[in-house]
Amino acid sequence: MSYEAEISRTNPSLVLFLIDQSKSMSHKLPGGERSKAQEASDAVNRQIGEFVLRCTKSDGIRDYFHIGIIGYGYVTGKAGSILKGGTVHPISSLASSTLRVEKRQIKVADGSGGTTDAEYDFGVWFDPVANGDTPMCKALAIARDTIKDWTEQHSSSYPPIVINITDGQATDGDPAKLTTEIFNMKTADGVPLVWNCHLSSNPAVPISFPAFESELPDDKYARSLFTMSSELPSQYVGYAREMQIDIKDAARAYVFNAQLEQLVQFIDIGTRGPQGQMQ
Amino acid sequence: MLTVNEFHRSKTGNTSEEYEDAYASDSTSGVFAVADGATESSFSDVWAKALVKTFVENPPGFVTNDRDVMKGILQLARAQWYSSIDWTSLPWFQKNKAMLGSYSTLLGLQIDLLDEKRRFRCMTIGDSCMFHITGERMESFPFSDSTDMSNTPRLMWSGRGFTGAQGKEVDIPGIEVKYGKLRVGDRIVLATDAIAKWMLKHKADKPWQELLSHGGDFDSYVGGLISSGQVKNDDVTLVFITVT
Repeated sequence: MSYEAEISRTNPSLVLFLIDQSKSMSHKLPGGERSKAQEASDAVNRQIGEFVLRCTKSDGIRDYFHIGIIGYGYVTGKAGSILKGGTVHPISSLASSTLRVEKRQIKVADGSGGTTDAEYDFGVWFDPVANGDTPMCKALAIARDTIKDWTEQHSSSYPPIVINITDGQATDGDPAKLTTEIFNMKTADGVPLVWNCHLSSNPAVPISFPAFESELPDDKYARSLFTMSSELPSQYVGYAREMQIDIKDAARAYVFNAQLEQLVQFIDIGTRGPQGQMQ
Repeated sequence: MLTVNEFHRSKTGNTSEEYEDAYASDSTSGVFAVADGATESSFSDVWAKALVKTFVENPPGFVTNDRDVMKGILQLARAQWYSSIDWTSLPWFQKNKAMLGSYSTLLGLQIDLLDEKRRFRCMTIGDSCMFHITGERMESFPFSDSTDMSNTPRLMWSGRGFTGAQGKEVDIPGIEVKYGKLRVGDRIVLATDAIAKWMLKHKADKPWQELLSHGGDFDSYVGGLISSGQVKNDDVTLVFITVT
């Protein structure tokens, strides 16, 4: 069985976020109050905060995860690490290198059936950008090279995970070739997982985790992202079903026309596998 | 009279500072406790220590209702947990985590040494276990078989880590209680889940004898059981009590 490697400080896991920073990401995301770029950056910052939280112990933070955030389109034709100082960062170094920490309020269960207000610190590692075109191939090439190095150095680790959040078609070639190259790599625990989330600009019904091309609209772009997405390992199918998502066994790690709810679910399910394997 | 021997080790690969079980004993008063702090929460080691210390330092009367005993322990231990953490010096991410509170099992045993029949009461929340050995016979509590143990044991919660939350009561999960009597020569073993599960799996083979025969060499013996996959890699705590 794959996707069962225990994650520990000596056997960490790699998660790469790819964020579309093209001009059209400035449009509002249906279901939310803000632009696609803002909702995407908020969702990814929140997830990194969740990784930090999971890895935090009384004596500090344990490097169970190494994280990269690759932006593309911040300047036309450009892609690169959003985080300063290289593409991959151990979670402990991220915890101490936020852009800023914001105070936010949440309602939490009080342990005796009620709720109470609590203030917590929300780490921000990057701000939204919506500026240029969509050089997705350049971003995937960086991901491929990073995964190649990673899998050579961590041959028995939980397979790397790539989470690509975009609202447009690649403007620099065919990205499917690059994901095929990523799928040709592996650790002893399996092949890297590539997740693609297409953010919508209109309130059309989203298509979450389709299993067959026939479920997609007649859209070349949708078919391309579908083929670029991993077939979900059975564990992930289970996580989606726990969230009451109607999903088939051969579902792909892909959401077409995602609104805010699907974006949040997508990142949650996409990162549950390695979090469940923490030693 | 009671003779007590204790053994503990951190999960293989972790340092001794990362040990999140806890134990406390007062053989003169006949009070013992073990706890297993949940690794998913932070400051679980502090919480586990607060629970066992509170139990042993505040031995409950035999006539006190089980639930009231746990309620009292919980209240005192929560205050101790909260005051043990230097909240102002925590970096933002540690504060976020600590605010979620800490979780731990608790098993408390009290033996009435003034009573001729040496009555005992054992109370547990979660999967820390007690084994009562009389001659060649071993009774286990709260599980009779290793397959009864789940991956999601009941846990005591410290409550959330901010001032307003400390005043609020938190629910106490289901308490398992066992009463019994002890004879001279009887042994009691208190164990956290990983080694307790191994004892339950080998219940027909007098597992306490195997453990006692490695009394001087527990660390490498238990380490061997872990590396061979017989015991889950986890913190291990064992307390042996012999009635003499």
